[in-house]
Amino acid sequence: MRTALATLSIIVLALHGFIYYEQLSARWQDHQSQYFREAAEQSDNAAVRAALADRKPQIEQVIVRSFGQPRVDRCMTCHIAVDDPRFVKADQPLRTHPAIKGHKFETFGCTICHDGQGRAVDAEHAHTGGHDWPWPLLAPELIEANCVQCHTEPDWPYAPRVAAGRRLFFQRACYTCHTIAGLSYGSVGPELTEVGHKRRASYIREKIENPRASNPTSTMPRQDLQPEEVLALTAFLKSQQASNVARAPLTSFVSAQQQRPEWLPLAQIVGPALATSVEPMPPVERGAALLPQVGCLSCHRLDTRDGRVAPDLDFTAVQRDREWLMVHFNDPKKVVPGSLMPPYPLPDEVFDSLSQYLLSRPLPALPATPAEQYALLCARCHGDKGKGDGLIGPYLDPRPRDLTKGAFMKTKSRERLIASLTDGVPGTSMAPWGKVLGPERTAALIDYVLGTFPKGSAREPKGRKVPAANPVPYAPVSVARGEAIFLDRCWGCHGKKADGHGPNAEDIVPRPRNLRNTPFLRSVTYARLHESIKYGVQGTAMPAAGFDFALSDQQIGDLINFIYSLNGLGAPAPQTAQLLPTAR
Amino acid sequence: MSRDPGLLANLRDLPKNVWRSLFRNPLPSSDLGRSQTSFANFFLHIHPVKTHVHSLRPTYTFGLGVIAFSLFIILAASGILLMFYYVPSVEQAHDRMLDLSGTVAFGVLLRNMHRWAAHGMVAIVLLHMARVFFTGSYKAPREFNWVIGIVLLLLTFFASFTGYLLPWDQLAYWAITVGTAIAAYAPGVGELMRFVLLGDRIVGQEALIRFYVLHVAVLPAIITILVGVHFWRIRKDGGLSRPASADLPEAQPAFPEAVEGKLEGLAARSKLQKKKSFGVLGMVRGPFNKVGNTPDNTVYSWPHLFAAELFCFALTVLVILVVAMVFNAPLEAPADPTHPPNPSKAPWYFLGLQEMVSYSAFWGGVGIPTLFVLGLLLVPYLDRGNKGVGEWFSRHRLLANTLFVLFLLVNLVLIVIGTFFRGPNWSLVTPW
Repeated sequence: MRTALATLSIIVLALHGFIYYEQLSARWQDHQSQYFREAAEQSDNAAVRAALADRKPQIEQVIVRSFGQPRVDRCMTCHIAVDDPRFVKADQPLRTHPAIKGHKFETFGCTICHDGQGRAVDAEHAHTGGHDWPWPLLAPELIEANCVQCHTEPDWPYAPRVAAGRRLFFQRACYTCHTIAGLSYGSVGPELTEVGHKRRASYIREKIENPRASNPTSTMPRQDLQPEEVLALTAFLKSQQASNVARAPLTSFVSAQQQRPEWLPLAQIVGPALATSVEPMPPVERGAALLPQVGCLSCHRLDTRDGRVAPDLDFTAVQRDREWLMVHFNDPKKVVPGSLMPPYPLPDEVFDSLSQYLLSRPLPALPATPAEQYALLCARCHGDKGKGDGLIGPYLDPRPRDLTKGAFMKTKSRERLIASLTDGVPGTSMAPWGKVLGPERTAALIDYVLGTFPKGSAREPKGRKVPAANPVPYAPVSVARGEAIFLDRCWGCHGKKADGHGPNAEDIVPRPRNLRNTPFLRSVTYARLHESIKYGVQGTAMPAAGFDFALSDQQIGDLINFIYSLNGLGAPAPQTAQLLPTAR
Repeated sequence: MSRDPGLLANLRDLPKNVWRSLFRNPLPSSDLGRSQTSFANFFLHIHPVKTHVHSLRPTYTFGLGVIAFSLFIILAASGILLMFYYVPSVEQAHDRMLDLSGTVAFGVLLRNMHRWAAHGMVAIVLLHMARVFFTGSYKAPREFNWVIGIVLLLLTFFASFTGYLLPWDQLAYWAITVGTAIAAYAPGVGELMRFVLLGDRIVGQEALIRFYVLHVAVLPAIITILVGVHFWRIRKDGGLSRPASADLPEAQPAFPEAVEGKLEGLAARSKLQKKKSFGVLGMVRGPFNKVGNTPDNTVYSWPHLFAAELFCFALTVLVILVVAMVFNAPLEAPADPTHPPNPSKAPWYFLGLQEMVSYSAFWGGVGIPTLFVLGLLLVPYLDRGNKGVGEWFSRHRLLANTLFVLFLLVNLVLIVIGTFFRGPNWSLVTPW
């Protein structure tokens, strides 16, 4: 025991010695000694040399009080030669800082421009700030983001990258989803007013390059950007710090409290020059000039440009009419409830120009064979192999139909499939392609699809009895009965809000139908709803409620009355397909 | 009275006399000296003069109690030094952490030592409790000391928890937000309890100052007092528990007259009650000086017990120093109430609770923990058999030990799940 105790005591003592040595000798002391030595060598004045020889290393600090919360910058403890012009060519940390007119170290310190953790006197803590510090040293190419904190004039010429990022913020449609107080009012994505204050530049950059990198459920479309464009957007977003150090807190507060305008001035989005030059143009040309500038093509495809997120606009001219386009511009969810597209904060004149331009475009030439037509028109959503996983498939809700599921495809009549292709499916991204193809080519394309993709067999539906009209009259009692059945049997997949997001929905492909999709429900006949509920939908997870849950035709009628009540469809139940909700 | 030898001689002997007045006894060479060393020293006299050899077996106690107390001393010393730099204000607290971790000499080391010793103390106190349980040491007459031990365990949790907020970084802020939210699930008093603890509806300046005062003054004072009682009771309860077989077989009374009732009072008791170890007065100064080869299998505390204790202390210091030099205590971005991390996790020792809360707020956060604590407090009053005391995993205590192993395992598994297997939105993730 005594030997062990003695050994242990000696080890602890030795460790103490090491700790004292390690804690009391820091790297910055070496840097300062080196500076004193080299400065003395370069000096020809004996008195200066003597003074330098007498200097002892000490912590140097600047307390910056002019910009918000006091900052303590101790960077000069290592970078002691920043204001000594003789060290221009020296290695860091002893290099001279280039002189910037009017910016004195005593007033500004270092971190106000460079970020980093000013209180630390060892390189690692000072530069990275340690674990999770939001403001590590800014890369030189991003420092502009801090310049514009004080230099807020919009045309300040020394921050070209921030200005380019600002243009991209509008050109790439970021403004339609994200709010930056005083600049944009999107409500789909997170607010970015303070993003530069809260997030590291590396995080912002990663999010722009790949929105799903740190959040696998993000619905933000991945944009096709050049490295320089990513850098510009990063610099612009890093400059969004809300608590502007040069601005009184009151002005920030007032700008944040500003009323959300119905639309943004065009000049703010495309720049004053373009806004003025499009003013006198006729609508079609104005639309042509604006369409690439307001962000449409960061998701949609037109001609050679493709945002790879949203449907092709090349065929819009014949598929849609002006009324549809205007409703869709103002609120895409009115016609496609699951649409990812945010409402655009633009004035109606601009929508009108854009609509007229799109409607005036000539239809591209169609290829001859159905296979080529499928590749051009259908594969963007349904995928090359018909699996419903095309380029933009993941961004659509409901997802494109998986054409390989024999159980679904083979139990539907050819007429119904042709009708879906001809007229489109209201409330979804399926467009009326019949207007592009004409009846013969539509039928040929359906035959091609049916002959190529579906796999596996299906039970033939036989002897189905489906009433053509609801056996139960629409009445509050019936709706209440229907709701009780819904909350008993249906909500697990369709969700308690009937929006198709029930607890089981995550694992089901295709996703359960959103029963609040009014345009879709308006377009579907009563008989088809009744049949789908009573006999189930083959190739999907929809069970045959008429047998599995022993629901009678009357109960199914109640259920459908409840679904109609959610969509304001009430009595009398609509029997004919209607494409549009009433115009606003 | 000796004659004053004169000023010069006094000056000459000054160092020697100061030394002697400090250390009354020279290094002992006789058993009487060894007794007096313990007896006459303020810091040593809470120990018995003699210690049973069974208590000194390293594999019986593993020194866990002494290690826990050593960690408490390290925490007090490093904590007092940290107080010189720390300011409990939401504006300054995090800046002071940056100063400590980047600029102040020894700052980062002290902070690391304090942080790791705090985690270590929670762990060691838990292990100490497990040791006491598995050796059946909570049985009569030691029931109340077990209860004090459980209270000390809870105080250790609370002291560590209150210290968790002080760095005022994201980790601290959200751990306390989660931890106090668990407390609010208590029916009726939960919200009030949370409000009293935080002084506000959210964690803010009021919470910081309250946690600071609790952490640096209130809790250490209570812990110090209860630790004193805990130690004192060990002696009052006859030293550490030991099996009957550890004692020498009963010898014939050396003084038949005591048995026959011819001796009375203290004298009779000191003859008959051989195992009693608190009769120091009687032993050293009393009429019957038992110093010598008494047949009770004990050894003198000086040097056996003290050397062992010093060894545990030095070992603890060494481990904490090395850990503090190798691993930095975490410090995240300054607390930001508008930006919760996902997931927000409580300190590790409360992650079992948080995991249970994710199944049921009331049962996980209040019901089951209350049952746990009540169960622990009542153990010595519910399990009153006297077999298997002083023996690790005695087969007489198979049921009790199995239940306790299960209790520990359940908590351990929950903590491991909460620590490593829970990701954003508290969904299951794999750590590899």
